[in-house]
Amino acid sequence: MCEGRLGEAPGRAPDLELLVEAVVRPLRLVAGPQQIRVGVDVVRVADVARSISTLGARYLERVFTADELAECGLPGGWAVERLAARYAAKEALIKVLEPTGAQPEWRDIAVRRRSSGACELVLSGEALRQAELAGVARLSLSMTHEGEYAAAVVVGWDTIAVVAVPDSPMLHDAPMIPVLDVRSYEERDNDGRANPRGAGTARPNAG
Amino acid sequence: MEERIRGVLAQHGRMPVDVAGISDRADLYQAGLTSHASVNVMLALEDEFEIEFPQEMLKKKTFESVSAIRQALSELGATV
Repeated sequence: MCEGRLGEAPGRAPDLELLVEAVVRPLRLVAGPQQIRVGVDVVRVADVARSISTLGARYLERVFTADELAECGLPGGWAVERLAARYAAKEALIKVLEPTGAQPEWRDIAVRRRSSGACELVLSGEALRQAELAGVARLSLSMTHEGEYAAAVVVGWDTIAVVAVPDSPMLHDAPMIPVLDVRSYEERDNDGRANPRGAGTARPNAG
Repeated sequence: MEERIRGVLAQHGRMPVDVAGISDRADLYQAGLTSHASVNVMLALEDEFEIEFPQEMLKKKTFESVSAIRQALSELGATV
């Protein structure tokens, strides 16, 4: 497949296959280290109840979104423990973001209950901007309340960096590391179409 | 202005210390002000001084001491 040498024909662009052979083939693309950020917060349910009692709508409407209030409303009152858990989630997210300046508005951080019953964080405005700035690509949320307290944990994952490293048998022996085999890219026909063997797409290396 | 700030802190800060006894520059978080209580303090200050804290001022430093709060209120045009 790889006849001739680089630079053999003066004035011509180096053959793509030769470039692949010389430069790309010795490399493997691997997932780089991924930073995980964790934030946790605990809130006294009674403190939230007191805030509702003393500051009323000013507190509720400044801290919670309309959807959150709708999810935590009860006939004639509030499910205060749910509101407390949501406040804890907002504070936990702020700890994940580690803002160097001002923190986002609380309503830019919303807890949404999915149809499955699980809850997720939905960011907007300044919270979304700060998350993007921090490279946080995905968030997980867990909330709980028991008696006097409500708590939340938020985990944020950075985007996965893909780096090229020299190929090594050690990478083949690490099945837990998702390794993308760039050599499959060269298994294409001359028109760039993937060959019938299914090559041409980066595929996980099972080691 | 400091006395009104201390009044808000005493009513809404839920701190385990006597607010009257702490200095203007004492760290309120060290003195027991929680993040949730600071939200209450912020809202109460807005009511007391008829101002609104913009998003740019939502940072721990804004509420870290009586003098920091006074500085923030002055920047927002609050009057005694």
